[in-house]
Amino acid sequence: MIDIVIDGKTIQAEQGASLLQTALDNGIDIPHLCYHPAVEAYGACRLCLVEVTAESHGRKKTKLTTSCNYPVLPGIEVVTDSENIRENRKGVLELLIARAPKAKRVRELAAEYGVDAQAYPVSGEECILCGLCIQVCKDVMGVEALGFIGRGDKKDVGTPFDDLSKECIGCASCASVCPTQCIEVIDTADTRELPRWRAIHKLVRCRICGKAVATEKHLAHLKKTVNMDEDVRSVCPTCRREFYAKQAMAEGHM
Amino acid sequence: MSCSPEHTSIDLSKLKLLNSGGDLAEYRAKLQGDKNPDRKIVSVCTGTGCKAYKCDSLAEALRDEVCKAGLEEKVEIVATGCHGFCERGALMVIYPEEILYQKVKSENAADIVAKTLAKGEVIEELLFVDPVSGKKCTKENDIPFYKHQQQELMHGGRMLDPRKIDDYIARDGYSALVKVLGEMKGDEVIDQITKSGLRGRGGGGFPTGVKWRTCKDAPGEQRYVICNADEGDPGAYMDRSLLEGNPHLIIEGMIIGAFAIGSSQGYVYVRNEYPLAVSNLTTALEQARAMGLLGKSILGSDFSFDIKVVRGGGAFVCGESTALMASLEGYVGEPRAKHIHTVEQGLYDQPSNLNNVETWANVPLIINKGVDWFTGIGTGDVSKNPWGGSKGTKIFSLVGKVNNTGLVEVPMGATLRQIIFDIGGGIRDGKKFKGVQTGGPSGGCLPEKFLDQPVDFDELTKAGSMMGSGGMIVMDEDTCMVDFARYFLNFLRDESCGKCTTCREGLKRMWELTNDICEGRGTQKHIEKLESLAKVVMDGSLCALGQTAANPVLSTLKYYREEYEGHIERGECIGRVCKPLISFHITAECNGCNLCALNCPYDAISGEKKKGDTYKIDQDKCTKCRICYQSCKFDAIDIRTGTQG
Ligand SMILES: Cc1cc2nc3c(=O)[nH]c(=O)nc-3n(C[C@H](O)[C@H](O)[C@H](O)COP(=O)(O)O)c2cc1C
Ligand code: SF4
Ligand code: SF4
Ligand code: FES
Repeated sequence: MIDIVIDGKTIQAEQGASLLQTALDNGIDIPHLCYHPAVEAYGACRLCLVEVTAESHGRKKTKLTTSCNYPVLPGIEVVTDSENIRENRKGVLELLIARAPKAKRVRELAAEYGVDAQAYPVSGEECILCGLCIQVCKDVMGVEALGFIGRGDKKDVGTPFDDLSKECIGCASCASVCPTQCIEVIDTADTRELPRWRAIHKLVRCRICGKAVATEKHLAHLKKTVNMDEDVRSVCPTCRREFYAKQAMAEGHM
Repeated sequence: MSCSPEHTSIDLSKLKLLNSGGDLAEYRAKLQGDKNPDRKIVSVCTGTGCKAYKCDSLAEALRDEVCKAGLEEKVEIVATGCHGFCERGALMVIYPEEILYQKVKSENAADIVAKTLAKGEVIEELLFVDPVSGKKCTKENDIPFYKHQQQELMHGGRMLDPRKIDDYIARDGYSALVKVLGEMKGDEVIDQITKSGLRGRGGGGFPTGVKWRTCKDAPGEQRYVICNADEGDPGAYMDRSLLEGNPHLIIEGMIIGAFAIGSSQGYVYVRNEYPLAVSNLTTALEQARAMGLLGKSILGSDFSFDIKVVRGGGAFVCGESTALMASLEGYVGEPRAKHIHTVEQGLYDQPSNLNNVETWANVPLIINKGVDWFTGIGTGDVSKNPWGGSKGTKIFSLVGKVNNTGLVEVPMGATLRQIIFDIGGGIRDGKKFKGVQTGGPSGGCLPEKFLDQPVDFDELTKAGSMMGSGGMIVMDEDTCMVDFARYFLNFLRDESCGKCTTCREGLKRMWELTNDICEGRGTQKHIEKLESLAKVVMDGSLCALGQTAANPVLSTLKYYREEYEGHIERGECIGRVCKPLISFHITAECNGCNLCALNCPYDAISGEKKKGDTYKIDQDKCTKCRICYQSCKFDAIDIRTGTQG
């Protein structure tokens, strides 16, 4: 653990840890959209800007930088709120709200920063290209169904060749991390659709209570990666707990 | 020598393996001794710029004719890389007389051999006529375009065939390497490069010696040296021309750098659209390897180093150091966070030294000619601080509305006026100079008052532009500066990697704002928004692409603000470029020739075939394609804008 200074306060932090996470852990709020503790910081949304003063070549230098992918380093001093920072975050939010006008978190932040939602004509893609869905799919689920397509202002996120992905297992992890909630998941009696990825999956329902458990492909994927009793594979988590409890009782553990 | 056809591919197994510096010196002496010292050398430019003019077949035709005339002992035809004056291709120079022929065709070969090479007669029709003075120029150095240059880097390539290592060796090639391997320690080499004040030619102007030092001192198992030949600036091609025309110079520079830093593996990252550069470089590497100048135990020493060629990812942003290294590793070329420097942790997380093509090209020259020679060229004082000045020469790609366009090499500190007027011959068609963009899309646009500004790293930055990699676009009075800024924004919004909200969305919005202004929808608010957004894009973006992307807008707003205001307040585009703000009219000068009416693809012009003002343009049909304006022989078409319209 080393000492760093954030907003004038000395804070104990682990060297190399994310500066944003360290601030959050210490009750200092920094707005952020594309950061998620489960995956490596990508630094795309540019909202988490802070001012870091560090020594380089014997001179102290202050620069504006994103905090999510900036490491805790010895001797750094951090300012998380200033006129300059607010102006820049405001500028970023103006750009973001034109892209994602419906997103709750973007709207809340925009309101907090007094952003003019009409600064630019609305383009309304809703996706802010933060990359979290791609990263969660790849690094957490171990599937590579998603990726960025193109570059510049035509950049998009999608499945390879913009086609129904062979890789997608329908776990909907992407939808759960999406900061703008723009990945829709539609469950019917026996299907799960993710229209954004043009994916339709067969849904397995709990053989005890009938609630949606997971898609067929997701279960098959779990079979490869997690050790699980065949008996409980198609049972929802609630019923699964009961199943194990009953089993334990029957065996006299409880 | 018999009249055998020219072998373009050299049998590698026939090349001599050199085991020491002495071997190389001996080999060089033999090469020099084999040739008639009084022979004439005909240097035929076969660079990419000239390829369009069939220069390859010209070189062949000349060889044939020389053979037929039995002059092969007295004349050597050398198919070289780019001479810089591409718009005059195909180009050839006869040495030692230095007679320059331009716009030469294969059909001229027989004449050239029979008259000039056999009898010393000059063929008048092939000489260059200076468009400014109207004078015919016989010698290369009579031509203002060449006379005012100082070609240190480019001249070497003029005398050699890049596909033949012998040509390079015969002209003292690899002697700097011998000197380094035989007489110097790595630290001494770094010291010399630092003292020379050499600064990176790829854009940033970072002192090369300081970078080498940091790389050498950084902990790591493997160290890499990399050559950046991605060259994405629109209109720039100095790196292509160096690689195509003198690949061994770059290779030698890299071997010296690798020796100094302690690296055994190098890479050249070449832009995908440069097939000739890749081919010439690959050939050069094979030949150097076969001769023991590259690979294991170079020249019999215990130093080993090799170079791989990697073709670029095809995006401008891949030239940025961290994106380039990601691309080398096989990932998408996207910049990464900047708190770790690539010299310390770059390619495969190892210390990696990246330099631009032209930076590498300077290295053998500095070693051979010495620090004092190098610091004698340029500005400032680098004896105490490598940032203290700009030393050596710089190659610029001079394009736009100047009389002579091409690659020009000048000492650092030459003024814009010298480059644009003395070398470039001033503005075409007697028009007025309006501005010059230096530094490519990350640079800025400078107006007339800066013409006497010395061109070096620090002076250009002070003026609100930058050196960049050496692109120089000259604009005349017919340029609209808002449209010009829009052009670069359009380029960058396409070429941004799209990661940062500020860069991706910001540039798109800045483009929309300038587009609104160009199309007559601009308000004062547009200018204010452009300025505040520029700050967000610069401050909030990760890499230098985003951080500098607003420069063209900011510099035009600074020096040509009245043009922005003209568009907004009066609907006036004084460059007469923005279509929604201009209209075409036929004046009383009309001679009634009917040419415009014939040429108009939209049938918008009609009138009676007689002098006077009978011809009219139907404004509803006119698409402002400019064809009438360009075809009228009597200057009778007027483009009106703003309150005149
Ligand atoms: C968007 C972008 C594109 C770049 N393209 C090039 C390039 O094509 N060639 C180049 O040498 N440097 C390019 N650079 C600069 C490199 O990042 C780097 O600074 C340079 O290669 C270092 O070499 P030097 O010190 O010899 O100049 C680019 C930088 C940015 C931000
Ligand atoms: S879909 Fe959501 S999670 Fe995926 S890149 Fe877009 S905003 Fe981020
Ligand atoms: S500044 Fe632009 S080009 Fe650079 S990383 Fe960000 S989005 Fe990509
Ligand atoms: S949270 Fe740091 S850039 Fe998005």
